Amino acid sequence: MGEKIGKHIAIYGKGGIGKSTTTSNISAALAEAGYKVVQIGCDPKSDSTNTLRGNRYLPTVLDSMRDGNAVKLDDISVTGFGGVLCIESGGPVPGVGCAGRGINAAVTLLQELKLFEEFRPDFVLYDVLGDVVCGGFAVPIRDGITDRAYVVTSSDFMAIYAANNLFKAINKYAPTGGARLGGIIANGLSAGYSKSIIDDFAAKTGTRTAACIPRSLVISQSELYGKTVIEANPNTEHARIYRELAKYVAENENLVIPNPIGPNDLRAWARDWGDRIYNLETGVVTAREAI
Amino acid sequence: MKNVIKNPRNGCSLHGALMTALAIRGVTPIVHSNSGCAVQNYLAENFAARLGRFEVPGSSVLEKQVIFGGGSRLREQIKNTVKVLDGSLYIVLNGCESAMVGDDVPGMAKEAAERKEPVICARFAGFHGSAHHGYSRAMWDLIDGAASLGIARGEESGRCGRLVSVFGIAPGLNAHFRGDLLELRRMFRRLDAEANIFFGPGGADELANAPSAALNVSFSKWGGFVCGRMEEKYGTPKLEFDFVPVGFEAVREMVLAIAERISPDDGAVDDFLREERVRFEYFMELTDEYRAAVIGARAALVGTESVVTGVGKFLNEQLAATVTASVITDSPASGGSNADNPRRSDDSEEIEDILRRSGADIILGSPMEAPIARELNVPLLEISPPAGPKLILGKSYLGITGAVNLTEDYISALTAHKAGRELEIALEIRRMSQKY
Repeated sequence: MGEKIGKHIAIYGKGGIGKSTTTSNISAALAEAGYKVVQIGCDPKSDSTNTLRGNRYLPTVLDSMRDGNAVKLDDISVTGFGGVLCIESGGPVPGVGCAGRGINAAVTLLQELKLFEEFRPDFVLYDVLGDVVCGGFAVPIRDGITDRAYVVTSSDFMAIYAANNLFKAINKYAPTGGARLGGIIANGLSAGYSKSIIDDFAAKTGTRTAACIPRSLVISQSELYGKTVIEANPNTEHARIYRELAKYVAENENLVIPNPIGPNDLRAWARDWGDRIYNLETGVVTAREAI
Repeated sequence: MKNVIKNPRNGCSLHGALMTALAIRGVTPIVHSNSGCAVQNYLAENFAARLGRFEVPGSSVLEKQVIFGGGSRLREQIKNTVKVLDGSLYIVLNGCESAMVGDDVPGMAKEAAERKEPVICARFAGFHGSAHHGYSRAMWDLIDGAASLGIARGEESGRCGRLVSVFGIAPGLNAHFRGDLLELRRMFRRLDAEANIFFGPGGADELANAPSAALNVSFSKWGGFVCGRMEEKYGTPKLEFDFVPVGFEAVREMVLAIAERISPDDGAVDDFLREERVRFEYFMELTDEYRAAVIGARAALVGTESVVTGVGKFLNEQLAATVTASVITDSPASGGSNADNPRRSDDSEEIEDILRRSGADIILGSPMEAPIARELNVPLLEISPPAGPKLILGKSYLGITGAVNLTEDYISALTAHKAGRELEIALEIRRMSQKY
């Protein structure tokens, strides 16, 4: 790949957990702060950058590849809010082909098109779909494509399970030059104990919570307007939280190799939290209770 | 376990399936993979691939088909293949990518079948196992697929009491499969039975007949798989031998076991065995002196389990050979000890080591043993695949015919080799005498 231009950041997390919303708001906040940003949606749904480009049409990299014509950067990118360069890798229709290989091919093509040399970004954010289910989905954290990853999770067990799986992948690839973890982004928190669960998971895995984003109507409303919170509701508490998170992502150099929790330990840990939440709801008080 | 396996001789399941399909007249394979898979088969088969045919239609998938799925490419390939290549049955054989990506291969075959085109698909991919595994699965898919298309025959009339199908002798499994199968057919006819041998003039018609056969006979564990499936689905009784019969004793054992199942006409078995015994003894008596010259020769065998077992037994009992090493190549298991006999290995380096230590006077193996035979300065008799430059058409190493051929070739190899060495010595003496 030669000289690395800009910081390349992969954002992972369970499907539907808010990766695209979070990534787009980080991109918007970074752009607002004066940085040159590229956001690459690595998802066949190709909706990662919707709120940055006001739902404007954007052909995906793989759609262009499929047509067999010589692909040019202009054909597959559009400038969105604050000058963020929006790109969608695209992929096969659901149930067909190999999306993992698609991501790999799309990223390779972007490198061949000299995207980074041309655009010279300060930050490149890769919004990667779903869970790390096979080798293809781990491509952005391998091969020196990104050097840091963040995981978006709620306090739900399945979201934490997906985060733990990402930790396994990072743990595997980091020693041979793969990305390291910048932190956990806690998203969509509503219950009082949610933050404690995520903080505890971070402590157990030797990682850190980068930000806590409470559930909010502001986010939903901004999305319905086809915009990021930074653009649609710039003076809200959530815009402030995203700006702080963007600053953290921009400045954080404390990258770690997480220690994923084994399957049985993870279940035991979850069960323990189940008991603690039940006790909380039913009024049982124990010494040194963290919640 | 060793880190390096040198020149393994077993291809993948796609390779075995492709050899199988190509050897059945009327069956046209359609390979759904990248083009290298079919080319590799062509190269691996060396000259043997040019025996018969090697037009293999293939979807030649590229990255585009991996990402977006290769279903439509395959659909196109099936449509065009059916137009330009004759076949009474077409079978789609899968490479590894299509299986990993999850292409709907059965769906594409079904679409074609709905257009009344005789297209089926294999239910396995290249990575499922060795070429032997590919043979057994392809045979089953071909027979069951032909039945599913409704082109199976004999269903209305029920089981055909005088029809026997033969499994476990196949291209890639047996160097002399054509001759061996034709010899079996000849023997079955003497027992009032007709044999489906698949890899002969009958071809795809025999696939259609197979579900109605009265008995399935297998001569290797790979054939045993097909017999097992046929028994489960079609209720066909089976009879399994773990050796290829060579010589009168083995033929007798086989014939009596088969006769018990298919009840030939009175006297047919006795008549046939009497004739075979007379023929066998006639040739053995003729070769008395030759056989005496090679008594106690040390032989090393390399090949599939059923061939090594059958040939080894004959060499030992009829030609008074001492089998000093047997290497079984079709189901290699790691971690065997040097003392094991037979050894199991697919690693040419390990096989060569075994042969080097065997002290053999003759190697019976495949053309892949040619370098070690040259190194040890011993003759090599080809009894095993893969095929080499030697043309093998209808020759058999099975039954009485096979025993006669094997005796002829085994003794000739030893005596010719001895004569060659004597000639070298004579020439050397002449050179030296001319010098002085």
